[in-house]
Amino acid sequence: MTGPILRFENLVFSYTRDSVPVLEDLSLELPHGGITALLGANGAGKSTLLFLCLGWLRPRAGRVLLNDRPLERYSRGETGRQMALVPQREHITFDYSVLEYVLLGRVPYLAPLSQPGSADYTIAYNSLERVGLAALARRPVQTLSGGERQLALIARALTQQPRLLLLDEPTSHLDLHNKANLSGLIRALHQDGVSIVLTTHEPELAAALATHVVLLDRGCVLSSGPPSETLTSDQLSRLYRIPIEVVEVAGRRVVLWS
Amino acid sequence: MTGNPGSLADAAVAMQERVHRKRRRILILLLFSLTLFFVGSLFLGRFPAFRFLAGSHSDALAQRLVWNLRLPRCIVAVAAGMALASAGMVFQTIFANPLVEPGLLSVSQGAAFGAAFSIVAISGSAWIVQSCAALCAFAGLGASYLLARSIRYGGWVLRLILAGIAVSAMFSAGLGILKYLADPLKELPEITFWLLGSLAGMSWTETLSILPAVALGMAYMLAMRWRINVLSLSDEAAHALGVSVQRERMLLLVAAVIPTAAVISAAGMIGWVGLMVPHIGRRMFGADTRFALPATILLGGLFTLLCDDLARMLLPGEIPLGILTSFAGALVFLILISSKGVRWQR
Repeated sequence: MTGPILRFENLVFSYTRDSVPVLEDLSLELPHGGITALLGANGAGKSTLLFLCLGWLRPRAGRVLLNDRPLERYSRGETGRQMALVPQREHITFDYSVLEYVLLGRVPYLAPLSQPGSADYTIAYNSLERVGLAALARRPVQTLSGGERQLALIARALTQQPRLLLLDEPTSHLDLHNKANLSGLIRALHQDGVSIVLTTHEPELAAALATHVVLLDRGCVLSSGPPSETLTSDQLSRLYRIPIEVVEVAGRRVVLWS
Repeated sequence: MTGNPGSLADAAVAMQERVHRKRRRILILLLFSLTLFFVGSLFLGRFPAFRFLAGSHSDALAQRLVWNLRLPRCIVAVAAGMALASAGMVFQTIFANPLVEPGLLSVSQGAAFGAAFSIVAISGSAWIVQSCAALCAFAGLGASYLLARSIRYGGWVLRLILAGIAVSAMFSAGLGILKYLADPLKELPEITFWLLGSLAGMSWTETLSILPAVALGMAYMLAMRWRINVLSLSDEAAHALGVSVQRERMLLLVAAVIPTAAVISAAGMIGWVGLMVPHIGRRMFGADTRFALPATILLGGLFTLLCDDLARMLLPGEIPLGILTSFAGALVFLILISSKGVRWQR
């Protein structure tokens, strides 16, 4: 497929009817099979955009198309098989084992009254192996550190075997080692043909990973395109409203700010 | 992403399968204990019926005692325990709150108000008290649901809980007025006894009237036993996993409330079973409701049957069942939360 995996047409969204819109007449196309990074200041509408992709939030006006089909024409199970979300954090009340928790990613594939079988367990375990948590499969999720929980969330999303993976600030709780691992994992998924959309506050991560960057400013698209055109000193200074300089060190973009 | 033969994943899945087999064996053991205990309960009591039933000593009175009094009573005890415990487990999981019990959405208070209302205003027979209790339990649930829909604050779970608290408080106030108005010699003791819960004088008619509701609700909950887990996550997370969160929560709530209302209407308030037994189930089998729910159902039946046996055997007179379940339930609960050792199969 060559068309966009996600298309937003004239999206308007506000959390309450009277409040200032978080997104204003936003139109955007995200490429199929790409790694798209959404950058923007706090409150720019990045996470809101992800929840609109999922259909959890409904736009006040405009529409979201997944694979050129309006989102509302997909069944709930279908969207669960098409896309997965890795939220910033998740509250867990009961002490599920890591494997039981990750296995929940099989929900969209199983009819409501059926139980997971050994094939589902194998897929869940393989996802744990892929994020490096296989050794902790039987540990209660509540005993995991913040970073490990983040990896468990990613493993659960992988268990959904999605065609589109949405990650909301995926590196926010990770140390450098796990950040590098996650970057490698995202690249590997990209190689497998999974489209990826991630929000981040780290322009360097976007520069290192993304094939497409969207700069969101107060609910509007400031710029959208390849990193070489979007992650420039000029654009980033406008986005964050501080002087920013982008320099190249050993072939990688580094963002300097003060 | 599928496992190759002989891979680590296969070994891990095989280990998980062994854990599941062990859990199933413990479940069968629990079922066997419950059956054994049930049969024992039929013959034990202030009037032991063992030797009167068989052989040349066969006694018509003993037969009537077992078939017409103890059998329906024991069936209702088991059904009540199972219904309340499973509803408790479902409520706690879908509200992601281990302190919730099946009476949360004004079901208990609604039933109590309904029963008291029929005792004071209609002075009818047992089936009128039961019907009124069941009707008001559902009215409580319906009112909580409608109120929750109109609240413009917080997520769905918080709105339901807030609405449930408000509607419960109104029913409590109504119950207070009814108790105040009730004839202190005739009606008030009847209300009080109903509120304390009892299975004394349970007939086949009452038993057969509650069994379909209990069986239907529990069958649905059991069929959904794994999927219930996903509803303990936040609304957004469950939605992202392809679940119609609100619809599935509502269906499960109704499946949990129907048996609860049926049981409360027939037996009165049987406290603590719905709160405490799910905790034991989780301690023994882990948080995964795929195993914890069947375990909770069996344990609920066992616990309530034991309490009812004590209620009819401990003293020369009948002890209200609700007093025993609350006392024993709170005691077990305290032991449970203060000991780390009670963890059988994880």
